[in-house]
Amino acid sequence: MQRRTRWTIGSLMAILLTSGAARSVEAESLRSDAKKATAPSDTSDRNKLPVTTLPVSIEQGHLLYTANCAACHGEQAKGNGPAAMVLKVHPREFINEDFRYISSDGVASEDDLYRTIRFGRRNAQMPAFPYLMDEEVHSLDLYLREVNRKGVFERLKAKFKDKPEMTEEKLERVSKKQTQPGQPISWTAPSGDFKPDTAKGRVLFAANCAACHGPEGRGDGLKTAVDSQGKPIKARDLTQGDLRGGREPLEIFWRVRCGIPGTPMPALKTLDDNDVWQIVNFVRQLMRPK
Amino acid sequence: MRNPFQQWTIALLMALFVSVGANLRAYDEVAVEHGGSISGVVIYDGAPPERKKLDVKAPCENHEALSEDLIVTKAKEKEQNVLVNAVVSIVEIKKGKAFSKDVPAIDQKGCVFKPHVVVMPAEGTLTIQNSDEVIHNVHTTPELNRETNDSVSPKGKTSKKFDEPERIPVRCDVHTWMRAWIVVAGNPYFHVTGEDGTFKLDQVPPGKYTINVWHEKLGEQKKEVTVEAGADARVEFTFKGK
Repeated sequence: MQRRTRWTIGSLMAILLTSGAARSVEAESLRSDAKKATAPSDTSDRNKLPVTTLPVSIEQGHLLYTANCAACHGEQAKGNGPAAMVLKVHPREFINEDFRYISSDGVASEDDLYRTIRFGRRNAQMPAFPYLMDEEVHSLDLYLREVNRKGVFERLKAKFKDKPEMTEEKLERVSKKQTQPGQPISWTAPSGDFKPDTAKGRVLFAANCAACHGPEGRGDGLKTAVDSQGKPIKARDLTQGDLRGGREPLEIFWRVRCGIPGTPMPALKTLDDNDVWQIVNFVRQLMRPK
Repeated sequence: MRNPFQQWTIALLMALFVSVGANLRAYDEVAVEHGGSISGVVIYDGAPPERKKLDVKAPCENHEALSEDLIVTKAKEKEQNVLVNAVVSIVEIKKGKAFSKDVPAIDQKGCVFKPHVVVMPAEGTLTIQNSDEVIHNVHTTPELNRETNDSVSPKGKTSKKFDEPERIPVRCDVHTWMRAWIVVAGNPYFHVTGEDGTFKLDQVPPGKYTINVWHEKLGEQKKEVTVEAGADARVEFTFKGK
């Protein structure tokens, strides 16, 4: 894609996003993704961090963070900004916690952070940031990962303070490796003779999801779950429909396939793509008001 | 995405990073001639503690399952109690025998992880199976490796890789009594003690080594040992019972 076209599309999208039309455009683009029969990977530009041309840096990211994120997420990225106390959903802290909404194997990809910042998170108070330049989003990505890496490094340093063989170099290397942007998983759209089949979806849901989400998806399956910080956490009530990771087919596909780091929601890799799409179809039916 | 200059810098840095990383972890597989062996037993000094019955809940049918975090058995011939599921290994060795070609596996059967302690090579692959009709998840909480959490469908199978040697606790969030350990080993000289509490490390190149024994409840101990060509070096570890 030409740079100019990209800019034009970028600014058009920014305008659209600020208007009420944004949601439906977003939804349409994701829906058509899921229908693409041949694409082996996610080819939609909307879901990706655009190629940037201005310089990006951790320092830029820090400045942008202070201006745009610190009010909720805190100056030190501890999730304790002045606005945090009035928010229903606690803002993420970035020192010890993982980025949650991923489409990658393990660590959020650059595209994942881009989507969260650019489009926000529903059912949480994470707003969309349509006015940030792509470069600025990229710099924020670099800064947040550096905060995360330092967090891992400091935790390991404290943990292994009595073990001389755990040198700082080793811990530097390990913490860098653990927090590097993940690679997007490959996925295929519903293919071949795929037909949405509620009965099949129900069986797959019962076998793979109901243990935690309950047989009817009301989030009443597992009562003992805790998140990575040891706090009790409930499986999402899917019938409420307001999924934080997004309601569109591809977004639900990613949640099932990649899991949600930092929560007990595991990555489900033992089913083929068509079976996951059946689960997606079934979950979307649960989400509809009855 | 990045601009080209940055891409190059990052590629360069990564190449450096990979080469340094590879050097730090190097273990060379070589033909071991005139190797010796290290063998012995892990003794538990005290009365065998009673194994607790696991609080197995529906829909799991395995109501007889016992906790596996501390298993002490009576050795057949001698009057001593020995420790099961202790991992004996050589702490640091730069070259020696090849890793076994068998891919280690952990199964979930009767809502219990089998085996309770599995050892896998660093950068190798671990097969994860589910023999049950119910879903399980394999939630690992390592320090040096990245935390992982994988669902395994009923009768499903998947695999996992870990790069950094360490001992990783494993749990299933759905069935909270299910616990196991994945030990990621930097070299192929390791042995998990079975019912008789004994261990043997073979094809060890002659030389001086530090041997480590680790048990999830009782901690670890180290001992120095000298291996001579064609000979067996005996090592005995004793853990004080509570």
